[in-house]
Amino acid sequence: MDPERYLVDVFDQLTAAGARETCVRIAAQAASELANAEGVCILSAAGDGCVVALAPREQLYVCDLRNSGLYRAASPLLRGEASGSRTLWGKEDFITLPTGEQLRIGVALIVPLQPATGHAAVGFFWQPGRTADSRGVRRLELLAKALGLAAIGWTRDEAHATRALEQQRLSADLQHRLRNNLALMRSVVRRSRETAESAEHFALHLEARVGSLGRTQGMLSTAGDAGVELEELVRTELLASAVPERSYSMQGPAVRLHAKGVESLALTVHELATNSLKFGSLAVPNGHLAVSWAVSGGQSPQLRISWVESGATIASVAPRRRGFGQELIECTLPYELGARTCLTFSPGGVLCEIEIPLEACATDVDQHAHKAARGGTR
Amino acid sequence: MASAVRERPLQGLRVLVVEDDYFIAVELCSALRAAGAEVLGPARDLETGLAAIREEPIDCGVLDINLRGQMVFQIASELRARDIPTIFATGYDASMIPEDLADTPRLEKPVDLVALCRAIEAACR
Repeated sequence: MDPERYLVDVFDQLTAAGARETCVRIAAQAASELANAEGVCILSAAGDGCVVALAPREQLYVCDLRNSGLYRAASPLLRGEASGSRTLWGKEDFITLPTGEQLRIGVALIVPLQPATGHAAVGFFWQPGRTADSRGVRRLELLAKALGLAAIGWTRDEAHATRALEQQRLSADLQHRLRNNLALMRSVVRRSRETAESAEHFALHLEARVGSLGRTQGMLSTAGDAGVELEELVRTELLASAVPERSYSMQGPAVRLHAKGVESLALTVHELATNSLKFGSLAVPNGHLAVSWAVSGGQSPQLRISWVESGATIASVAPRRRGFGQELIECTLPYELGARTCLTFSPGGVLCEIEIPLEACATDVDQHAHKAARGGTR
Repeated sequence: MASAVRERPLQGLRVLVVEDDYFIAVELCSALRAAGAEVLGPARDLETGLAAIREEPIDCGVLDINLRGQMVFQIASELRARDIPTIFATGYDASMIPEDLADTPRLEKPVDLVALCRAIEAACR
C-alpha cells in the first residue's frame, strides 16, 4: 500500500461521505490501515458526548470520557494551555463504552482541531504494547485535519436538520393553536347566541368578544413564552372598551400570566367591563372601579383578583338568567383554571372575587410573582 | 319509531368527553346529548379523564389530544386495552399520534358535530 495514495483516497471518501457517523468510521478504518491504531474518537471540550469508533466494528459509541486518562491528558491541549499540535501519551488506562465494556488502551495521540470545526480534538489510541512510528503519527495528524474539515460540514448539516425540525414543531404548534382558536371562536358564537336577548344584542356582544379574543392572541404572540403582565391585560381590555383612566384604579404586584391564564382572564375582564359600562359603576359619572390582586403565600399559592365597583345605582339585582359573562366567571374559570369565584350584584355595582391556583395561570412563579409580591404594591 | 332512532342515533351510549377548553367541551357535550348520548365528564385533564374511565362504564371516548400540555394518549391506550372505541377531536395532525394509536379515528377542530356523532355511531354499533 502506498500510504500517500491511500490518504488521498481517504480524503475523497471523507469529502463524499458528509455524515458524522460515516466519516468517523472511515477515519477509524484508515487509522488502523495507516498506523495500526485500535480506534479513533472525536473529543468535545467538556469531555462528554465523545464519539468513539473502533476499526473492526461498525458500531459507534457515544462516551463520557471525563474520567478517562485520555481526556485528562488531552485537557491542557483542549484548554489551549499546552502548545504543540499533538500529544503522545503513554499510560495504561481504559475507556468505558456505554455497553459497560472496558477498552484497554496504552498509547493515545491527541490532535487539536480548530474551533470552526465545532469539535475540540481528534484522538487515536492503541492497545497496550502497541504504538505508531513518527511517519505513522504524521499521517494520522493529516487524517485528523481532514476529519476536522469534514466536521465543519456535518456540524452545519446537523444544525440545518435541527432548525428544520424546530420549524416543523413551530408550524405544528401554530396549526394546533389556530385550530383550537377557531373551535373556541365557534363555541363562543354558539354560546353568545344561546345567551343573547335579541339579534342586535347577539351581534353587538359577539363582535366585542371576537375583538377581545383577537387582542388576546395579539398580546400572546407579542409576549411569546415570556407571558403577559396581569396589569397589561386589565389595562388593554379596559382601554379597548374606552373606559376613562380616572374611573378606575389598579393595584397589585407584577404577575406574569401564561397563555391559558391570559385567554381565560382577558375575556373575563372584557365581560365585566362591558357589564359595568352598561349597568355598573362605569355607567355613572361618579362611579368607580377598583381592580386589585395579590398573591398569597403558603404551600399552594393563590392569585386573588378583586373587581370592586362602587357608586352605581342600577345594578342592584342579579340578572334573571345566567348570561355569557356570568357563565364565564362561574363555570369557565373554575373548569379551565381550577378557580374559585364569587360574583355578587350589590347596590353599588358588581363585586367579583377570583381565586386561582398560581401554577394554573402564571409563569415563572418564583422569580416573578413571589419576588414582586414581597416588593409590595405600586 | 324509526325516525326517532335516526334523530337520536347515540341513544343509550355512554360517551366520555375529555377537553380542556370549557366552551368547546360544552359544545361537544350538548351535541352528544342532543343525539341521545349519556355524557360523562367533561374531563379537563388527564387525571380526571383516567379516573372517569376507571370508575364508570363507558362505551366511547371523545378525546382532545393536548390538555394544557399533557398528552391524552394514556387514556386512549387504556380504552384500547379494554376494546372501547376512541375518537380524537384535535387541532393536531396525524403525525402527532403515536404509532400504536394511529388507526384511531381523528376529527379536526373545529369538529363537525354531525360527523362526530356519525363517527361515534360507526365505532360503537
